[in-house]
Amino acid sequence: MPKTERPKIHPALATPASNQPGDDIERHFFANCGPHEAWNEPEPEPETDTDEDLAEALESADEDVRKLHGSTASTPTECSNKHLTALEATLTDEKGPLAGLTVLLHRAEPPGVIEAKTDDVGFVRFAGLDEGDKHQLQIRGVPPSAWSIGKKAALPDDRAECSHAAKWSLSKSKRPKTHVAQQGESIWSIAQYYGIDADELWKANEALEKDDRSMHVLFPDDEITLPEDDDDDRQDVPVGKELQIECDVELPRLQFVFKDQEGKALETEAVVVSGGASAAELQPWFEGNLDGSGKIEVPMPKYDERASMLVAFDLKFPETSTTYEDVDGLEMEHVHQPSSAQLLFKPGHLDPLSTVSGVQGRLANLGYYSGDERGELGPLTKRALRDFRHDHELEPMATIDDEMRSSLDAESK
Amino acid sequence: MVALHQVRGPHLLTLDKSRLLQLTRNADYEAFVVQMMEHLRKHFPRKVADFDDMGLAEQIHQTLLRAYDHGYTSHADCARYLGLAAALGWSFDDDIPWVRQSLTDGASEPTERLAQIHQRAIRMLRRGPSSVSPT
Repeated sequence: MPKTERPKIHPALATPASNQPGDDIERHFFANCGPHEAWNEPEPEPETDTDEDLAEALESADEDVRKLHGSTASTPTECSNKHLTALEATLTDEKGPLAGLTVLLHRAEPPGVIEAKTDDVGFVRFAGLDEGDKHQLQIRGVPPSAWSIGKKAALPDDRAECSHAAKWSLSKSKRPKTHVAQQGESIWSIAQYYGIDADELWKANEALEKDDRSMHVLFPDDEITLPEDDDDDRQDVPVGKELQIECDVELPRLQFVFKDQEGKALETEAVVVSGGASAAELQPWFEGNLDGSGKIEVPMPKYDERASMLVAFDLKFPETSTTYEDVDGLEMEHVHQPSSAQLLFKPGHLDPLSTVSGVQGRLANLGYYSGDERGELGPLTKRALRDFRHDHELEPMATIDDEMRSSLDAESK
Repeated sequence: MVALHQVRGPHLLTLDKSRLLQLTRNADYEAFVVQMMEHLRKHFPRKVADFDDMGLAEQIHQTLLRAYDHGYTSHADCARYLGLAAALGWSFDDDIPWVRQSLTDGASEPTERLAQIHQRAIRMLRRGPSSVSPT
């Protein structure tokens, strides 16, 4: 068939004729004659459906659906001569499992992609893969040079067997071209969500800098451009295997420093970090001891969990004893029973620094403010402002000015 | 109605007749896929505009497999499932949490569940942008 010939297909299946000049010679001729204003050109149709269009389409399609009878019964099953299997991978770095990484499995022909995120132990599984196809793996935000396949073992039969084909998506990737920033998001958190390198993402959006945005501060509704996936970021992988993938990647971790009221770091107290959507739903997420200088470093919770997460720290102060002499000259020992304290905070919800609530949030994070005067310059906020200004050698007054904001911004990073 | 193996598109070499026959098992199923191609091109023309006929046939087949996993085999249910997939996204059953939850809710019959999802999707689409999807 010559390349220019339209395919012979059922009229109902044919796509509408295009508006190419060659399609209607007469119309094209007159369209280029005389005053163009005389032509009432039809308004171009919008390229995408609105939500209302889709709602109407669903309703009108349903009218046709009601006329359908019959059943596909057992028909949509895979052909018996295809052998379906699975691929499992565990992603680790030198510190342990890599949770929340986006892994894409590509199929060469016909083109398809499946996207999955590693779970808490860095595990990801793709099922229903055809052994005859060529597959490639891509880890978002991690170039192929930064990961390698370590141990490779055949999957046991019970984990390799699959009854249904994988749910391939024909689109190149599920990643949209833009992301609209929500309250509490930053370039870093968006990069983590989509599995993009944060510096690369900021580079694609540096124009925002002129509007006072930074990698750490975005405004709600800011439109963030997401760079396209790079086809070169893939490695061939066999299927029917269990892979250990070692990555040389630095994933962000949260570091906290605990100090007492006098600013002295706590030592080796036990701490349990919990997270959940509310105080009633807290689940332990990390257990350990402070490192001697009051520090604790924990893996970042997954983005999806962080969006509305409340974090709690349960600090267990060890049993302590104090020896002293009482008034009668007898040596006494007083033992303090183990005690605990719970601290709650909500990460990722700072308003911009230009707002009073943004200043309050940063003052609270630095330990200057704890109150509920959200958005108002109440007495507690004024006191926190004075304290902060005093500690940072600014003029001791209870106001927010540019000097104060810049100092607070620097301190908060 | 045209037989699926007669459909030709620009990616003919990527999915030839023998491969296509691997995907389909009998003439009835083949005819239903073609019927659904017409259905989607009629009601969701922009959503399927990027597919050539071969690509759309495979997308329909893959979506029917997913529908089958959730217990949908009647033509009416399958067509409704395909309509939702075209409108909300081809992986709507995985990507939209409330759909995922509704599809696995054992409290009602599959057909009733799908009708509820269909109604809710229409309501949410009318409510405004991004009210259907979680993000």
